[in-house]
Amino acid sequence: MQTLLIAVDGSPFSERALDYALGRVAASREPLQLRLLNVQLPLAGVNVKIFISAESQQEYHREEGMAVLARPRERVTQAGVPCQHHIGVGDPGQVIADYARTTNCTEVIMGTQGRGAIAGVVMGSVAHKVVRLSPVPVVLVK
Amino acid sequence: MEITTPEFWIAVGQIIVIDILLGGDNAVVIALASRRLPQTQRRQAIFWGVFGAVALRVVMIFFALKLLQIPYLKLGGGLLLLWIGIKLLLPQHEGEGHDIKASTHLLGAVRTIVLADAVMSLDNVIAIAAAAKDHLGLVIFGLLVSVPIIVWGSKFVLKLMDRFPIVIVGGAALLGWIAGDMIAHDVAIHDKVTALLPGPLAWAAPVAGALLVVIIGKVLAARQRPQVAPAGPVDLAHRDGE
Repeated sequence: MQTLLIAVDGSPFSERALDYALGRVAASREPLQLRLLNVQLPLAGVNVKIFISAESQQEYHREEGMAVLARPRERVTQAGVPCQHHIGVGDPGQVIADYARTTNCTEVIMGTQGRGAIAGVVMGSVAHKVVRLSPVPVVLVK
Repeated sequence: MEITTPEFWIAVGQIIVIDILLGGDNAVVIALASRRLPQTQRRQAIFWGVFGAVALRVVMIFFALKLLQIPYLKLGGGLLLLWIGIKLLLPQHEGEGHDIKASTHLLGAVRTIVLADAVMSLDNVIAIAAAAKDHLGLVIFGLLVSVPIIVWGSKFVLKLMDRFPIVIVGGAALLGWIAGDMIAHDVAIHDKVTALLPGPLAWAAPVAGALLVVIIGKVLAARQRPQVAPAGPVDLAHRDGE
């Protein structure tokens, strides 16, 4: 079965990527599987290291990630599509590509840019990295 | 230090980097400490936490400028900066540290935030004072730069550190550099240092500080790393068998 990995960060771009993925599912004859992935940036600061334990940081990433995933998950569930969700921590481009590889996804779908990208660029740095590192085809949704 | 000299502008650059390194994640610590509060209280706690972080810096810096003239206090401040620099290079251990608990009531959260604010401001203030070398204009500049970084900086700083790990190594080396310089300028030992390292050798102390931090940090980090490196991507969504 084909598995689409959708990178979501709560930005309008990732919403459109999800629109596209749901459209693909609706148009497809064979059933498709969806995986939603949100990547949290690591908390690299020295004060965080001193004051916040690794467990608390993970818990924080998890909460933030689940908050970002809430709406996309709801939309996918409403569409009646089977779906798994994941939260990773690290360099987003690297983590998305790693997930695509280790979870045997057949395709990555993401926005051309996400939160924090410089407005108006053709392709954000995360998209660029995923295209470079992903072992499977990458669809960038404008 | 005159505004036209390269030393002045080097100090300006050092102060900006210090403010980014030591102030950039304050907001994250505050947000973490208050995340168990109800929405409205949470906003209050974050506001007062950020306000406290700025106010404490203003108060502390004027004490610091006076106190650092007392023998051995620059030495102590320098050692603190060395430790912070090394800490910056170390990966975090599971279960390590003085964990800040996310309190469920406002008073508890405020208490934790004030405590964290005090420590976070202390190292930042000492580092600014050291880099500014008692130039009052530079000290005030350092304070002004730190305010927007504390208030709005966290996301930007996290991205910066994540994308360019060199920032962390460079920042640690810079902390070691100004720590070495600060220790050499302690009233109690300054004469001995200048006797030992006359004129042209004066840069040896900051260089030694920078090397010390980077070498100790790297050695300790290399010793710790194998224990924390996860095999493949960690999936936080399904940690609890959800």
